[in-house]
Amino acid sequence: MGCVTPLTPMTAEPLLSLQELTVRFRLPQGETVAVDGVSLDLAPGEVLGIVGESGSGKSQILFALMGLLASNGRAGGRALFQGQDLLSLTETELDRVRGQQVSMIFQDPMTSLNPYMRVVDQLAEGLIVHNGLSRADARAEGVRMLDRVQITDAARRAQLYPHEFSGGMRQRVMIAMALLARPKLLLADEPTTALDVTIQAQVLDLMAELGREIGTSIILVTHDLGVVARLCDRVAVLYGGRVMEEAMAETLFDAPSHPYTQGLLAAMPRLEAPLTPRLGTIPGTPRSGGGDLPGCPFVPRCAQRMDHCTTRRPALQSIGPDHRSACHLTGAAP
Amino acid sequence: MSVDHAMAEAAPPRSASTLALQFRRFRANRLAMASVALLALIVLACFFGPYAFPFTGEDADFDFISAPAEMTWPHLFGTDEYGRDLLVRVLEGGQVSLTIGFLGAAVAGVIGVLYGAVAGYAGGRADGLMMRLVEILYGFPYVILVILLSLLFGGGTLALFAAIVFTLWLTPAVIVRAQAQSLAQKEFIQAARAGGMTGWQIVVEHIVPNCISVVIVYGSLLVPEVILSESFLSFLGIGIKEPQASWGNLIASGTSAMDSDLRLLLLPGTLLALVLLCLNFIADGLRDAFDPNDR
Repeated sequence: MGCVTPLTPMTAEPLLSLQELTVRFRLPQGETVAVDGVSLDLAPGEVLGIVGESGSGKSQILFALMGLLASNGRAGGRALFQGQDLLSLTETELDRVRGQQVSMIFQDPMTSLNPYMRVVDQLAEGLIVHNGLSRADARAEGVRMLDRVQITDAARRAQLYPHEFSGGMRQRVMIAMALLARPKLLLADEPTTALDVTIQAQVLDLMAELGREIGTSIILVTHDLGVVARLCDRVAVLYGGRVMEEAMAETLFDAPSHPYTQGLLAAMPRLEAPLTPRLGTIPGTPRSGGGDLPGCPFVPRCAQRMDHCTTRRPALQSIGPDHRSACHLTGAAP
Repeated sequence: MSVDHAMAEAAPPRSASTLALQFRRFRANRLAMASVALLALIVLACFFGPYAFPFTGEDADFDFISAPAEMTWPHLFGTDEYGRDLLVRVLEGGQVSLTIGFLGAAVAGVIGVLYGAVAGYAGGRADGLMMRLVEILYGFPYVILVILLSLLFGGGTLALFAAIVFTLWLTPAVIVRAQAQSLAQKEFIQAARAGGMTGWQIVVEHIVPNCISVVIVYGSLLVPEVILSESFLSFLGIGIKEPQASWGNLIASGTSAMDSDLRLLLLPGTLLALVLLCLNFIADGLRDAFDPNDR
């Protein structure tokens, strides 16, 4: 389990600062809250992991940043990227940020490439539109990037169509495409979920390595704690649209504080742990959506719940160096 | 590896696009390929055949009035009651019908595809408004529209063409709009938006190319539809007017002389039927080759 040490001191001006970010969806049966007041900072060059179960709102954070929310979704709060609030930008202003300063890698590489376009043209498209490169130059640049994501015989393969690529290769193409413009921030939405286990590590390492070379900060959204342990400097654990615990990766794995994090880690198989007959589980089903809650969203599944957990919302409080947790157990007494 | 080196290595790839694969499948369809050949023959005959004769379809030959079809030079299929050569008139009429057919289908197709792609991708209120407009136009009686447009354009080919395009772009718009709607949910469209592409770039570069197989199949059905409505309107006398020939008005004059001389009806009628059959077989073949649901 190789944890990457942070490259930049935490005192640096954050590249991205989420302040009370909320995402709400209007549904026929009422409004549902997908992201409920998330505040996070991302330092330049840092890799931040956002972990959570399905429906915890982790992907919606990324979609909100990119202005890609479904038409019934609305983002609130602020998302300051280099001091500029991404949430208040118009579509046209966003188009100058997206694909140049911020880019995104999607979950399913099988559907994230246009089946009717040669790979090289898809790579070149962004450079032609944003950087004003000629078609030939942009293509050459695209081929060079394919080479860097370790696609062998890149010049020939670039001329192929996506259906002639394997899943892992397509995701590497997506990484190449995302990093081509040398963005300051890369948003990766479960980039390896759809891939073969043997390919996952390869693709992730490649992404992290290239990101480091270019100096890109990465937000990696995943439900896979192994992925987080491998790549991330810092981790935020999300549940019911709220940050439950946030810490440096090492701290989180060695000394998890929040009952939910503890449950997640107990459910993760580890080589160095003593053999137990069964992996731990968290009872109950994950909360997804729903209206505003007065208390902690994890209450129904928490083994250590107290009476006031259902009525008072625990604040995200600092409980150690670079370690914050939102739980009444660790917070100030009620 | 230097880029020049890399580019030099890029030999012409044997890479096959989805489109190329689909056309390969189409070529394996014998009936469709035979139809393509026959259609090509008819098209060539219509556009070059008339040059083989020393007169045009509008020249009256007073030595041969209502000559029978005796396969004798120069009037192989005889003449009509004005002494005009029937074969040449049918071939020249074919030029008009085929041109209107293909051009009309192409123009209607382009308008419909772009309109549908924009509506489907934009979604929401814009989509609603655009599609209500289509529905209103759908409700407009076709023949009345043609008569109105004939008045507006002073009759003739242009009015007919406008009327045909005006009514026939609606269906491709609806079809492509449905396609674009489902495409807009695909991740590669999201990826394009995340890549900072503007709406128009996404429509032109991502949505439209992905609709192309649907468009080709529908377009191949659109051509016979256009030819048929041209013939139909000309038959009714509100389309192409004498002395200019088209299959529609040739058939019309054929029916009036049906009792005495059936071949005036048969020759243009047969050619029209052949072309329509060929186009339908081709459309069938294209659909088999392009529609993934059939396999």
